[in-house]
Amino acid sequence: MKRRGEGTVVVDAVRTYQPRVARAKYEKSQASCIKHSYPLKFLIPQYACETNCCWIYPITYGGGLVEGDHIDIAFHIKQNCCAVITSQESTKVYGCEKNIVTKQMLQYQVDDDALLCLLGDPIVCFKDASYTQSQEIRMTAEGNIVLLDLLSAGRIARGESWQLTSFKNSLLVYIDDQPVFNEVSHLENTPWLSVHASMSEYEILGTCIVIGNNVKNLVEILCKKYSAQKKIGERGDKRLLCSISKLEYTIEKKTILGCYLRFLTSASKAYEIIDEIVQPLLPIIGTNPYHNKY
Amino acid sequence: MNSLELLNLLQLSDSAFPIGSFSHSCGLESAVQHGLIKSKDDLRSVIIACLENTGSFSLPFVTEAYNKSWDSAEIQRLDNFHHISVSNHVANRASSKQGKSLLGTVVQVYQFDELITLSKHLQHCHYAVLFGVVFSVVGMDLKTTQTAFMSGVLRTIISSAVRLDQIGPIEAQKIQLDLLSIIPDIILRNDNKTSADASIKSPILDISQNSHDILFSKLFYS
Repeated sequence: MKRRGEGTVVVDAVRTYQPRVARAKYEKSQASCIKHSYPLKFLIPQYACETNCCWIYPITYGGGLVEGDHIDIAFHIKQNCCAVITSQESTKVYGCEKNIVTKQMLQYQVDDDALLCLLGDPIVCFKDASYTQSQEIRMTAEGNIVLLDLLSAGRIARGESWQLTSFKNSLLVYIDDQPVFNEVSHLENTPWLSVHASMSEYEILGTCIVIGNNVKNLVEILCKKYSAQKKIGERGDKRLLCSISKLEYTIEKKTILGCYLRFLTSASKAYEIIDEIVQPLLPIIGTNPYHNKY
Repeated sequence: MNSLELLNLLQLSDSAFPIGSFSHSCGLESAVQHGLIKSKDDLRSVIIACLENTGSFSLPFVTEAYNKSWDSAEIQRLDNFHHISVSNHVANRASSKQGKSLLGTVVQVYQFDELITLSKHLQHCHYAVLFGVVFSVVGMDLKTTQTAFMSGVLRTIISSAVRLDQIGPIEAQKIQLDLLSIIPDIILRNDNKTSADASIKSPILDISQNSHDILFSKLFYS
């Protein structure tokens, strides 16, 4: 049976009579509108952290996506709000037998001075899985995003390694309705090169995009670490492929900075990099979504 | 194809045509320095990955630019879309450099009015887009354009493998001859794609190329 789950979450600032704490960059954020249909559901704990950040866990009944599932979610982070969208565990995509693609279409809208952190666990595509994911972010020139997208080799403990049929991932970012960033990757076997043959040394493929002036300290930390020139005689490490590009966009004479980090490595090395991304965010998001997970 | 067309094609796709592809290794140099190439088989797979990425990502831009070469607004849109689709700054710079040289050379050599106007409007001049436009304006058919594009990339990466001391010149020609046979299949699989479907097939080469700038010593520009 095909399942189609649709959902919407709007995060808005809580209006209170108390004066806004001068130190806090973001106002107390909470979900003001939640809609969902089977098999999709949201967990939005009231006390996920000590800060003003709102934590959202989209979950599906059954703990994974089966063949033909289609999930459609729209998130809207309103002005001065901060939200973390994460998961309790990895998103499992089961194998497909009838050649029907499993899909997730995610849309995010980020308003002025808001921060959206997408810090989910890896997508785990089981053997023969066929999965398509599209993420579209529409932010304003004053908005901020931290997106971390992870794909694992499969059920590593069972010896599964890149045996998926197809994984298509597209990421599109608009700033003030102008497209600025587009990345589409499509892993699939071709007659000349199998996904397993080319990727078997690695366990995690990670992509991280950071854009916005409120998160420029994170951009600086990552750029400093990963764009440092190699020393004489120093060779790259095959087991840790990691690269970074600076992003710079000019929208109506305003300059917006960011970075684009990608890594391909073992699970343990990947979590070291993930930690470097999450640590500078802790004062804002409160706790580490990857705590105790590896 | 008559002999004049063939001669034209040979001139345009000759390595002496000054578009500067000899200074690019399509990410091979960084792959070598990252220890990704330990044997001849590794080299072969990296070249295949490069051809697959070219077919699934660049070829749709070549095809679409070829089909819309008369529409300068569409070419500008394609050029901008190509620009935002390559956030890997090393690949982006390599593409734009070669595209600018291709356009500059063709404008001076052939002096087509439409290319002169276009050169004033394009902001980034990405190679795949310009390649499609130039081959269409010169009067090549689409199949020839696609094949010449793929063959140019294969030649560039093979010749850089020789200069990086991975294989000897004779062995290089053997591998090139062997891999020529997969090009028609790659073109066929990506023939109906437009720029909206353009995607990267193998991220390994792209990620290692992306860190080209931090290598201590390098022979190539990308």
